[in-house]
Amino acid sequence: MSSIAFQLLINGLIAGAIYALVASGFSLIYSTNKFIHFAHGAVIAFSAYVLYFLFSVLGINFGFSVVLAIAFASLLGYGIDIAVYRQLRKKKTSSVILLIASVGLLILLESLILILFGADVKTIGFIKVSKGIEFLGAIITPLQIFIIITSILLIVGLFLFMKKTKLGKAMRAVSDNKDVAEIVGISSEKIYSWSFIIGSAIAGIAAILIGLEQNLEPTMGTNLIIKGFAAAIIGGIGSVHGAVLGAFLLGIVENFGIWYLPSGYKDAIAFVLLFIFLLFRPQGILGIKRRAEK
Amino acid sequence: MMKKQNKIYLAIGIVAVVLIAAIVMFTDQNKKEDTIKIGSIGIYSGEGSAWGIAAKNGIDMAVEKINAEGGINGKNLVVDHQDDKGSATESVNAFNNLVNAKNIHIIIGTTWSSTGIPLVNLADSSKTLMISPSLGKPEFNEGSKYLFNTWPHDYLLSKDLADYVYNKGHRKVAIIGAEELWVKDQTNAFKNRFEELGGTNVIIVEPLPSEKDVGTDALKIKNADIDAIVSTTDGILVGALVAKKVAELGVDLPMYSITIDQAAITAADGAYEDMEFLTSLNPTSEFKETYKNKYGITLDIGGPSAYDATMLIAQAIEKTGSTDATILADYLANVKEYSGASGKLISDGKGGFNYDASTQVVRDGTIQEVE
Amino acid sequence: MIEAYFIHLAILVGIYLILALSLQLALGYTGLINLGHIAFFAIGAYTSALLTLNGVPFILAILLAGIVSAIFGFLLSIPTNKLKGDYLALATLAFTFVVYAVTLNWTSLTRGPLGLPGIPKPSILGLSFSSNLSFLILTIIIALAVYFIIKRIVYSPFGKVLEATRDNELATKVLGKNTFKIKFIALGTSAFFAGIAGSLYAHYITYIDPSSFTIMQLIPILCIVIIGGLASLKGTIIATIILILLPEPLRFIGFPSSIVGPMRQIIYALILLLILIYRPKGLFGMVELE
Repeated sequence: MSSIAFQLLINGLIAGAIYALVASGFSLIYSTNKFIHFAHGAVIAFSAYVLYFLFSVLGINFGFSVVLAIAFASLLGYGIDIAVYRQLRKKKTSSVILLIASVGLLILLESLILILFGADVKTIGFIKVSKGIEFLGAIITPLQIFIIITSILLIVGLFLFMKKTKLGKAMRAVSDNKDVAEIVGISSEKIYSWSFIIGSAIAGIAAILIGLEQNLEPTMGTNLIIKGFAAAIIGGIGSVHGAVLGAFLLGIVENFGIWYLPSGYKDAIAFVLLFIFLLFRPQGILGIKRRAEK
Repeated sequence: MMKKQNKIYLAIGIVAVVLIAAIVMFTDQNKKEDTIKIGSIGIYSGEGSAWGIAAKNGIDMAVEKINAEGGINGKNLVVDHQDDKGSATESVNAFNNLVNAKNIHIIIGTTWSSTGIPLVNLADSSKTLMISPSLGKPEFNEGSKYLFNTWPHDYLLSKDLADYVYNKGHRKVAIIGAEELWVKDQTNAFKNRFEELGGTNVIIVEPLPSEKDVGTDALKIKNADIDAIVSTTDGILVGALVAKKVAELGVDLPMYSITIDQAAITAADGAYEDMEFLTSLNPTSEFKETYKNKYGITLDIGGPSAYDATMLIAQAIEKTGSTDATILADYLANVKEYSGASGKLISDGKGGFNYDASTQVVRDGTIQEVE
Repeated sequence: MIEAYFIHLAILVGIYLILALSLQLALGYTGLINLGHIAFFAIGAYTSALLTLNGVPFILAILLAGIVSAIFGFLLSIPTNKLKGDYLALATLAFTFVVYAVTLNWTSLTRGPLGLPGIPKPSILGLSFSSNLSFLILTIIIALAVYFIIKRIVYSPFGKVLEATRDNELATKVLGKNTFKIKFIALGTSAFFAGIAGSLYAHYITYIDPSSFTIMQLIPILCIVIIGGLASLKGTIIATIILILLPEPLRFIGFPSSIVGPMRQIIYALILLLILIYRPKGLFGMVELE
């Protein structure tokens, strides 16, 4: 493979890893709760800003700040579930209303970030730019290697969690059939909460890595969740591994695509793919046909 | 819940409260009639705000000085600053706000061409005087007799840069541009002049200003057979991102640019080190000192030119005894030369002013004079 | 001057009213969860702007803006016909993204991120509507016309069929109605009026670019329709007035203008959430969002 193609592949894997970090938490929440939690993007954005605030503004030790930021993410996700989604669930509202509510939350939180932190791009400034490491003819920085490894570990970890742990199995039970799960004694409300706690913690991890690699700006949440959501749809939204597959595919297709097209087309590639899949194959590449059609 | 009747009353009540509040606020503001009001529209937050805030400070400095010396014909000068956040839509809204809602027809702004050009027709039809302290396209001031510019045009400096780069011995360059109105102007001006001289523009990348992932653009540059890299992005941060990525890929070639500011240098995280650039920001040392003492930050693009714009307006009002935009515009059109904080401004007869540029270099992450 | 300020607000109310009423037709009366409504707004705005910038008279431009948007509405209804609930919402939302990407990248047509400046003020048969007051009169006339047309549609037998489709598509089909045709007409008509609103918007602001038509602009409209209440034209009118006027005092309390924008969005988002949780019928709604 030529070194350019290999570099593009590496770039695609880096982008894919970032999308996978977003999409995995998002799709964990979706598969358990069965609605689109757009505000996931805002959880990521807010946590990144919290890290910025703790580390770059207050000067708190980086390791501490990271842990606090992830904890914040979890708490925020959990809080959103209790304050908004649970109230709506009590009234047995449809997933469309939950979707609209999540869009409202996304806008709300992003506007809050704008007010609190302003519109300027913020840098976390923990890592100084350095020359990348050469690897089989392509260049990749240590941070980027770390991102790819972390996302792989996370995915493997999630997989093991869902398969082996009691909580994971309970989540799968609720995801497959909530009513039967309740009969067996699983409290769906508790499982919903756990999905938000864990999914948002993953969002927190995503926030740290993305913040370091791409810097922070108030609309980062919207951009990330649209890509993450596209990745999940393309790969198959019912499952976490579908989302991850879609994420890496999207990253690679985007990067190869704009080698040939002007770079403004990058998002267009994602949007068009998303649109086409939603219309013609909403269950994605891996997905099982859900009640997408009625 | 409430009866339908009551709901309607509630709704009407809310609307009434809102309207009354607005009226009260408004009549309050109109009580101060013994001041001269001007407005400003600029990038006061977000990307590009380094220039906008510098201009804002320049205006405030001028206003303070004018008022300290007794105001204009006895009246104090007051500025209404509007943030356009670098968005053309916001800029149009700000313009409507100042001109329609507040009846202010003298405005200093905007920071960039992309937010200024959309205002050309509006300014002309509403007879509003505007002076920009930092936008680069001649279409602005040449679009209406009411529009002026105290910052030299982009294409002039871009052409000079082509000569500079060529004279340094480079023949094959990559250009880092962006998909932005005035950046494209600069890119084209450089490109054409460089080719005229006999050089080759091997590759031009123009990412969207909002792009975060510029790996592929950087790769295209790495892959090209070039001996220098030119950046025409000024204060647009995506340019710094591309430069950073190019450095990450291990490319180490001489870089040249125009009108770089500190915010862009910081965003490039070291990638702009040793870059030489041309800039029209050569204020008088007196102004530089005063600014530094007053605001504690180094002067940025837009500062001295906004100061000069304010002073020019004050001079026009004083000499004509009027605040009517048409009269002021006619007066300013007849100003051939002006010695200001930016240097010696020479009118081009079309509403634009030119002055000398200087060559500077980035060392240790700061801007320094070329020795 | 105060009058100028209120005229400006009234024009915005008028434009958003047309946009909200058109969404109400699709969402409230036909049950189409069309989150992509802003795309029709954008298509109308760009069509009208491009036409008038190339010398086409305003009357023709605004009509064509509506027609072109309607065509896209018709087109969109075809593949989305079988989609239900959240997938329909998502597909229409994705449509907004696609339209955004097209306006951004088809630079030879739309000038991409550079936008279209200098859009001429309307002029009909020699009468120029360049002053804000005259533009307001034009807007009011069009808004009233749109209101009456939509009202007639909604109270007609066809309107009943729309509502039947919304409430129970299967039953409506069983009764022999071609629900695809019904949704086709509804979405196309809704898009037509959104295109008209888009044209008015473009000619008022005189500058548009792709960023004028994103998911951010969807929130106020969605809020209006939901807060006003589904299937209630009166609710839409009142909600439009309240929601456009409500954040205005913020401008005067002395908040810096960079805060006013996000505060508006926060207010809208909060009210939306509160309504969804505590009063899903909205102020005057006949039906709940489902």
